[in-house]
Order: sequence, then C-alpha cells, then structure tokens
Amino acid sequence: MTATTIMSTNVVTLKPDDSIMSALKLMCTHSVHNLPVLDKDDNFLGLFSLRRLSRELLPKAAKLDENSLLMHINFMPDGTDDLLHRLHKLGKKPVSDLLEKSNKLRFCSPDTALPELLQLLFDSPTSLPVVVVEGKKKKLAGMVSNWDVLTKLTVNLLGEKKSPPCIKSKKK
Amino acid sequence: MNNHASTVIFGWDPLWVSSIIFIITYAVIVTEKINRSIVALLGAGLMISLGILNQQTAINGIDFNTLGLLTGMMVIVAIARRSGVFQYIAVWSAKKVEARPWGILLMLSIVTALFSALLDNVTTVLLIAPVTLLITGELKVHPYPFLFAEIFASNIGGTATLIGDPPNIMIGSAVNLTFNDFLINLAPITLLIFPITLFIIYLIWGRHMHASDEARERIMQFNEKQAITDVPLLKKSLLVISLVIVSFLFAHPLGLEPATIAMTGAALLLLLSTLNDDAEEQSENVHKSFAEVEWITIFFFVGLFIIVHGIEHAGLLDILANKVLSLTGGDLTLTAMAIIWASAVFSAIVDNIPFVATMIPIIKSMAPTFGGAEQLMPLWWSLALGACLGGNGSLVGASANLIVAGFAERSGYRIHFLEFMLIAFPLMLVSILIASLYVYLRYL
Repeated sequence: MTATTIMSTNVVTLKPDDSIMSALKLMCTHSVHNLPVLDKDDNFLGLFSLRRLSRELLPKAAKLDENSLLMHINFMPDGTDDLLHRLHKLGKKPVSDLLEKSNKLRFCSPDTALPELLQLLFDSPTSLPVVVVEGKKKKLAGMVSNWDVLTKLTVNLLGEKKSPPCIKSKKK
Repeated sequence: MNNHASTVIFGWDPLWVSSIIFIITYAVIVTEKINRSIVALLGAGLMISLGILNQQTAINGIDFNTLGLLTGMMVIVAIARRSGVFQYIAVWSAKKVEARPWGILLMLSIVTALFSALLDNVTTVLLIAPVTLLITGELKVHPYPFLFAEIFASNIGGTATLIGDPPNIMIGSAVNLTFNDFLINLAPITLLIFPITLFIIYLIWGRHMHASDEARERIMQFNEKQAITDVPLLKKSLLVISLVIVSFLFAHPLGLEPATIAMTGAALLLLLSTLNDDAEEQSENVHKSFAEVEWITIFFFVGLFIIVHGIEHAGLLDILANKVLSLTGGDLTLTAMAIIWASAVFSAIVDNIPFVATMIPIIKSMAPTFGGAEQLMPLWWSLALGACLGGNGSLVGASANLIVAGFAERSGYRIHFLEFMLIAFPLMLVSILIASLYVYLRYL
C-alpha cells in the first residue's frame, strides 16, 4: 500500500497571494488544519497551517526562538484585545508570508511505501501532514495525514469495508 | 627556542608553521564566516598533524578546569530554568516598581548583573531579554534602552566573580585564583562602575521615559506566581545553586578546584531532578539537560587551548612577551596600563576568549622580569577588567551582546552596529578609565 492509495487527492489548495483571512475562511468551511500553497503550475510552494497561525498570534517576545519555548508566558493575564488586533492585521497579508518552515515539512513520492510513510508521519515534529509531491519541481500529488492512514487502514487492513468507523468523520 | 618540536613535517620551522596556523585561524574566527568551533578545531588538528605538538602534549594544553566549570554551570542552569524561577524574579521586580519604565530598567539591570555574576552572561541574557521584550511590548515603550542597559549589566556583573565571565574562569584556572580572590579584588570596583553606567544611561534615555497608566496596569496584572511551573524543582535548584556558591566561597580551605564543584553540583541536581523518573524518562531528561550545554563554546575552547599551546610550545608567545616588555621598558605600571587598555579595545572588536587565551601564557612568562609570579597580580586584574568590561564596546564584543541583538531583531527592533557602538564604546572607555584608576591606586 503506497502513498498513492492512502493520500487525499481532492485537496483544497491556496495561491501564494490569497489573503490569510480568506485562507482561514476556507479552513473553517472544510474543517482542515493545513492547506498547501501552489504556484500556477500546481507546484508545491509551502504549507499554510493553523499551527503557524497560533504562533503568529503570540506577542513577539514569546516567539523569539523558532524551535523551542524560550519563555513560558503563563504569568500573562487573559485577554483577547491584542490578539484580535494582531489577527486583524495579519488577515490582510498574503498566505505566502505565513508558511510552515521547510524543516518542519516531510515529503514523499507517490510510490512511497506505508512503513516509510508511517515513519515520516511520526517524525513530523508537529503532526503536520506528509506532502506527496512528484519530480524536482515538487508537483503536488496529494497529502497524507494521520487521518488518511487511519481511515485507509481500517478499510483495507481490518476489512471493515461496509461501515468504516471513521470515513464519515474525515472531511473531504 | 625551537628545539621542543623537531618532528615538524618537511623540516619546516615550527615557529613559522605554528604562527601561520595561529594567524589564519584567528583571522577566520574574526570574519565569522565559519562557525568558530569548527575553525578552532581545524586549527588544533593542523597543530597536531603538522607535528608542532603530539596528541599528548596537545591534550596537556587543554584547561579542563575551565571546561568543567563551564559545562557544570551550564547543566545546572539548564535544569534550574525549567522551574520558571527567572521569569518569576523578572516579573516580580517589574511589579515592585509599579511598572514605571525607569524603575523596570533599573530592576532588570540589577537582576541581570546579579545573575551574570553567579551564572554565565549568555544564559542570563537568554533568560532576561525575552521577558524584557515582553514587558516593554506591553508597556508600549521602546526596548532599546532596556536591552542596552542589560548588555552592560551582564558584562559588568560578569566581571565581578570567578564564574561570571569566561576570561575570569580562564585566568582563575590558569593562575590558581579562588572565587574569593575575584570577589575581593574585582567585585568592589564593579560596584562603582555599575551605578555610574546606569546614571549615564539615565541621562541619555531614562529621564525621557514614559508609559501610560493603562499600559502599566497591564504589567501589574501579570501574575508572577504562575511563572513557577515546578515548585519541587525550584527548591532542588535553589538548594544546589546555594551549595555550589557556598562551596566556591570555601573552595580554598576545602582544597577544591572550581570544575569539581560545578560538575559535582551538576551531577547532584541531575540526580535530584530525575529522582522519581523511570529509566526511560530519566535518560530522556538527562539527555535534554546535557543537550542544552553550549557545545559550540566548549569545543571552541578545546581548539583554542590547543592552538595557543602550539604557539607557546614553538616559542612565539615568548617573543610576543618580550616585545610587550621592551615596549613598556619592563615597568609594571606601564605594562598593567597597556594590558588593561589593549585588552579593552581588543575585546570590544573581537571575541575576548581567544585574546585572553593568548594573553595568559604571555603574562605568565613575564614572571622573571617582575620578580616572581606573585608580582604579576596587577597584570592579571588588568587583563580580567580589560577583557570583561571591553566586551561592552561593541555588539560583537561579547556573546551575550549578540544574543540580545538577535532577540531584538526578531521582535522587530533591529540594533544597528554603529548606533550601538557610538554610545557603547565611549561608555566602555569610561568604565576602563575607572578600572585603571582602581588598579593604579590599589595595586601599583
């Protein structure tokens, strides 16, 4: 069972100059955490993720280090004013300003086998989906999330073809 | 002079070969194009493979006392910081002064100076600068004066103790000076330099600082108690840190070297902090603590010690020492003044660690001229004061400065090299002026 069988293919995608606000609306309607950003030839440019958005909404001093928490901000009081202000400003920017760092992404090709795929999903530091791309220019073929694996596994390996338990909860 | 190393390949002159390795390595370190630890290790590798030193002699040149002290303290801080104690103190001190901007600047500078004296500067600013940026962000005041003051506080505070700044660690280890020697000889003058520096910062920025009542109220709503994430760990860390500092104070009567104290303290805190973990958690936590040691600095030291040992072995340092002495005419006062001012200017422009590593054997070799090793004390204090305080002279003067500048840039306030130097360099010279008067009046 390779990436081709497992991956979601009808993926909602973004263009680099789509605004962040419009991307968020798309994510809301489709209930997805991550959207790939493609150029006009469908080549993969980057991943726009809710995880990245959470980081962006923090005060600047709380995100000085990309890879670790330098400082817990558990001493800050609750409040949404500043956050909403930041979200408002952020919403007008293009999604290309807020892509996941490339070292956070894991790639594979359509014929990548399931064991390696599982390893990539596990290795992906922030439970981001593995991006399935073809060729040097990284043409997007599909995306594999832990959900894709789970649904395909229950259908194909457990043989529960009639009523797969999570096929309905997986959003198209 | 060259008879120590007769096995240099092709029969080349070891003095020339080692000098070329030394100059090229230092030149590449200054350009900062290649990570300094790589450069130092490559230089060290050349010293050995070209036959200036054999491996055993090279290893003898490494000061494991310095390395052990640095590594041990780094492990202790890596564990202690997880308790949240540093954020607690920073937020607590900001609220103590009712979130008035100048008051916060003073408090955070004092906290920085104290921590820098007892821990290393880099760790201190790693802990303080993010909180500072958060507080100034909420206060809606420009963070630059705060960060500027903290850079000075970290370098001045670090000057005060044996463990405060790498030059002191190296000098203390090479000359067998105790924690108390540094406390008695260097701490008093830093207590004078620090307030004077803060007063000048007040004249430049402090008197114009203002924050709205609303913004100050936001800081007052910070709950510092929340910052403590792990009370048992906090108690264990404070226990071990106090034990380590008390041991430093009594190191001499106990006959203990600093590295033994720091490493044993680190092992004790590792034990206490993983007491209730199962085997897997334990190895994960120990790994995490070791991983936070700044291995770049440690390996940089290893390489440098070998390179400096190479040129010392080949006789270059004797030549340099004689040059210095012939310039100062063998006069102790003049030599001390030359060392303090030259190390200040050097340390402002380049990393003070390689400079001090080179100066230590040079000064040591001056002992016969001045009538014995005890007579060299004014020179050691001059080197320590010059190298530590000189680090304030520019953004690249000390690693701590670069870290603060990096944080500032990432939070949207770029600190420009020249803009910083325009005020920092003269202010550093003021501190050196005070320090050289002190050395002159007390020791010469």
